[in-house]
Amino acid sequence: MSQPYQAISDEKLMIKICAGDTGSFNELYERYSKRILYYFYRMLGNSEEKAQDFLQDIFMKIIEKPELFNPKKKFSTWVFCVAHNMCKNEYRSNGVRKIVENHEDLSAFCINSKEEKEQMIDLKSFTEKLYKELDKMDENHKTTFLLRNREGFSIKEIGKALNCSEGTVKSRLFYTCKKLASKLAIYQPLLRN
Amino acid sequence: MKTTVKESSFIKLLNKAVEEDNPEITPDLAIRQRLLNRMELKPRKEVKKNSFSNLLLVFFTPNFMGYKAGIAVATVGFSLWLNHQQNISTYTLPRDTTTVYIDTSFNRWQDTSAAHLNFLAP
Repeated sequence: MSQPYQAISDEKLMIKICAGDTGSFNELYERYSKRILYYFYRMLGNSEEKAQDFLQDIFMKIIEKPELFNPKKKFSTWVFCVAHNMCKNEYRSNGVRKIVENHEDLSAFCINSKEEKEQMIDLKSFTEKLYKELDKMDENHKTTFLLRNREGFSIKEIGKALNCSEGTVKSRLFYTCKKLASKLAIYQPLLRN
Repeated sequence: MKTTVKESSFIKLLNKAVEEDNPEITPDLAIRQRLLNRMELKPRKEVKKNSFSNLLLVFFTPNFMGYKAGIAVATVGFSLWLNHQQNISTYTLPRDTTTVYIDTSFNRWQDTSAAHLNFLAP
C-alpha cells in the first residue's frame, strides 16, 4: 500500500516530482506556498503582486528542473536559498529600494505627533514599524532575520541557505537586532507588558 | 556576546511580533492551477542523443531483466532449433544454398579464366 503524501518527507516528494507525480507536487505546494509567499512579500517591499509572481516562478522552477535539487540536502534550506537568490536578482535589477524609500517617507510622517506615538504602542503597530525598519536594511540582513525568526532556521541552516559562514549569520543577526532596537526605542513600554 | 535582560526581552518581543505577523495574503488559486497544468504538459521522457549506444547500454543495466532473459532464451532456443533442423538431411539451410551457389559460381569463373589463359598461352 502506498504511503499518504502527508507522511512523506519533502525530499522524497521532490524525488517523486522528478518522476512527474502531480500529487507530490500538490503536497509540496500545500506545505510551502504560504511560507514562501510571506517571505517574498516581506522581502519585496510588501508588494503582494510581486510576491505572487515570484511564488509562481519559484514553483515553476521546481517543476521545470527538479533534478537541480540534491535529495541528500534539506529541501527547506534549498528552496529558501533559491528564493533568496531570486530576491537578490530583483534587488539588483529593479527598484525594490524605491519602494522602501517610499515607506521611509510614510513612517517618518506617521510618528509625528505625541498622540500618535501613544496610539502606536501595541504589537500590531510595532510589527508594522519593525518591517518598515527592516525594509531599510540590505537583503542579506533581512533574509537572515526572517529565516531565523519566522522560519525558525538554525544558524547552521541559514549559513547553508545563504552560502555564508555561521559567524557571518550570527553577526548579521546581532547587527539587525541592535539596529532594530535603536530604531524601535519608542516602543519601550511594550517591553514592560 | 552577552545580552542584557532588556535586550533579551526585546528579542523576545521581536520573535513574538514576527511569529504572530499575519498579513492578509494567500497564494492565488490560479497559480496552483497553472502550475499543475504545466506539470501535466511536461513530457515524461526525453528523446536522448546517442540512442544507439543507449540501446546497447540497456543490455548492461539491471533494468528489464525479465525481458532480457526472455530475449536470451528465445535466441538460444532458435539456434538450437536451427541446429536440429540442419541435422535432418532433407532440410537445406538458406545459408548452405547460398554457399553452394557462390562456390559453384566461383568454380565456373575459375574454369573459364583457366580456359582463357590456356588459349592465350603460346
